[in-house]
Amino acid sequence: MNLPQKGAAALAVAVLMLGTSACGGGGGASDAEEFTFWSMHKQDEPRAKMLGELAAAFTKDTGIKVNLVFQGRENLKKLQPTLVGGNVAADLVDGSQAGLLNLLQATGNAKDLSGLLKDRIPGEDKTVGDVIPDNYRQVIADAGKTYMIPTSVHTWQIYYNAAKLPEVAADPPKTFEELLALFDKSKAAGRAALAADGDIQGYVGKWLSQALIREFGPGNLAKVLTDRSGAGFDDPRFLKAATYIERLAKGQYMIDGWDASKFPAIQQKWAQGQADFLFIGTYGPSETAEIAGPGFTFRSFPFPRTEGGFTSEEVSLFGFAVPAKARHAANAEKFIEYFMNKKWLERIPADEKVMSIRTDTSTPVEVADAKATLDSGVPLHLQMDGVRGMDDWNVKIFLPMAKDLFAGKVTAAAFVAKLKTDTVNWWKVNG
Amino acid sequence: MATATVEAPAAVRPAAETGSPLARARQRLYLPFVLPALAVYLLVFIVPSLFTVVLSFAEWAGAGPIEWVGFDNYRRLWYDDVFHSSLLNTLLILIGVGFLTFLFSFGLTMVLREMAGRKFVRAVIFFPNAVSALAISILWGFLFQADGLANALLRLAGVDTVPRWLADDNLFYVICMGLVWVNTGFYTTILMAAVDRIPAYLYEAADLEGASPWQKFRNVTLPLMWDAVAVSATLWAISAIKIFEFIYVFAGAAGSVPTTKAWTLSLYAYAEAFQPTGEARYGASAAATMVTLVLIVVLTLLTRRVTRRESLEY
Repeated sequence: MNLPQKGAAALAVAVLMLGTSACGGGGGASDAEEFTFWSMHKQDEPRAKMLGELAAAFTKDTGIKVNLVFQGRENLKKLQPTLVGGNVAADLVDGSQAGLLNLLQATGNAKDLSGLLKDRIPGEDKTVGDVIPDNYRQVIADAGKTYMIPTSVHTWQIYYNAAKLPEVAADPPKTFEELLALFDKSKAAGRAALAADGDIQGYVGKWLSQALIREFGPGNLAKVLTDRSGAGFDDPRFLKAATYIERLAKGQYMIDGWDASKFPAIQQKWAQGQADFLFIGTYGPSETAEIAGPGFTFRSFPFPRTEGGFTSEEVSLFGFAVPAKARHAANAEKFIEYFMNKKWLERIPADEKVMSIRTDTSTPVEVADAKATLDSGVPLHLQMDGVRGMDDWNVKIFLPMAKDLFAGKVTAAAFVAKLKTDTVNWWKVNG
Repeated sequence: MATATVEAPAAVRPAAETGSPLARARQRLYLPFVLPALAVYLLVFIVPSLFTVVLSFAEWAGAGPIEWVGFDNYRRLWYDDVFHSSLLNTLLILIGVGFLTFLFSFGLTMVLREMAGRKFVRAVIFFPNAVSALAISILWGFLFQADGLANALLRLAGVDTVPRWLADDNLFYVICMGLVWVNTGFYTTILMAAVDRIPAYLYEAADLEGASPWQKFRNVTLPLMWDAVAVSATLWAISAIKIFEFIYVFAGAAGSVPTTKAWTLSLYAYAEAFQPTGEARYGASAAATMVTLVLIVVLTLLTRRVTRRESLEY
């Protein structure tokens, strides 16, 4: 009897110790030349193939082993718990500018990469800072720190099939009035003018946020939204912007079922020619190319000017960040420098049909118009004018109301009045 | 085992002192067997729960400094319209979906009790519960698209103005329909298992005395299956409040949260913790979770009390 009892007790102790060591995390830092990279990409994406080749070449040239893990889009969420304590799980991550800013920089967990900007790119005479256009520098800096190194850039454009609408390609609309006239033409020809996957509220809300920034200009919209008295909502430009969207709703240009379908059904219908225009990020062509087929010529134009006259364009950057507590930060930084070489960054437009951050890489035809817009020297702004700490407001108040306005359920005046009240109330408990 | 308890009543003589060798051995093994489970329970359940309580009084982005804010997170819930609608939706699922689910489950149990091939039918209606909620919710999305199968069938049947099932205003009700469909099989299976144990002679006696189907259900089936009903009701109360993935996958698109009109308390807590683009708000999420927890405890106790009956032996 005694022996099995001791055995059971020993087993229990062993289980406990195992549990404790598992909770305590793995051993200490290794001296081996290596680092761990948690990528936002998935194994079956073109970027995964490229990263695999890149890691192999990097290891061959430097002797530094890359522990490459394709965590997918949740990579930052998975990293978050490991930032508490001294055992951060990855030395390098990639992600969107907003994700890296909010998860790493805002919580004091991003390593300052300012020094890296001055480092030479292996195999080139240029520094990392040389190949990042100046107008993106302010976006990747916060509180005196460079929290990310961007590798690719997206913007928003109104897309159409130039093979079907050559007249639009010849003379794209420049003002909102011209855009509505174009939509009227589509409607008169018996076609749906506009498509949007209504279940992604941000796709619909983008119409209003873009109209607002056209009216107020970059930097000014943020002031209106963060003014806790709500006085900015009384500015006639706010109503003006909302009225543009009200007119859009009244025109009934939308494809049937846009607000009662599941993404990506509606953008696929657009790709099949069932609607003429689609306002979407520059990832749109790669998402719809397969459905669109070879006969579809992707062309685009920027959100048209309004009376406000501002011309800035929204950009979202994607790139690298290094956690402040990364144990192999130096190796991770070497990898970033290696990646910034033209040979590798060229793979972003070539494989993914996406704009790379470098201006000297090629431009895929699908995003050529977008690239031309950004290169024309227009000012840049971030989503919702880069306002921070208002995501809760955006999801719960702004986007649902913007969708109601877009769908014609409320008038512009009622919309502005309610948005003002709700925003002021939101600030009362969230300020 | 029975001998030990009879010979040494704990109240009179503690077993460890003077009990049988078996009782002493059991006493010695008590801690080694209980400790691991207790440790795991403490580590993965009690400690995180206590941490959640503490966190509900703080602001924390998941990393970086924790800032104490007192009852601010709870105050925010009080004034947040979306929290109110999420709470209402949760109660609608709990009561509305629960009512329909049990209505269908009782109905099916009665129909299937005397039906040939009922095991096969039971397997069929249990099927939605066995399949991943993710797969089902994706399938439902396709069925109820503006030009999906449901509307195609309606058009074939001559309906001109088909419903916009997935529009923001209707989405939640479609979700409720889905939940009824998924859960009916599960509860039918539990209830049928209880009904199967009821001796046939009770029904034969009822037949001889000329009882109607309703009288048989009211006076034979229901009293004898009551334990299973009580357990099912408690299970439902707990799971209804926690329903998450079905709604998140069915209504959310491409990583974005669904329309706030379809949020429940668990979705609310998730959206607070994992803001789509902004800083995470674990404190606000913890406060919402605490409210949910209190709701679960209260409703579970209430359900237990309402369904408490004398257990019948047969």
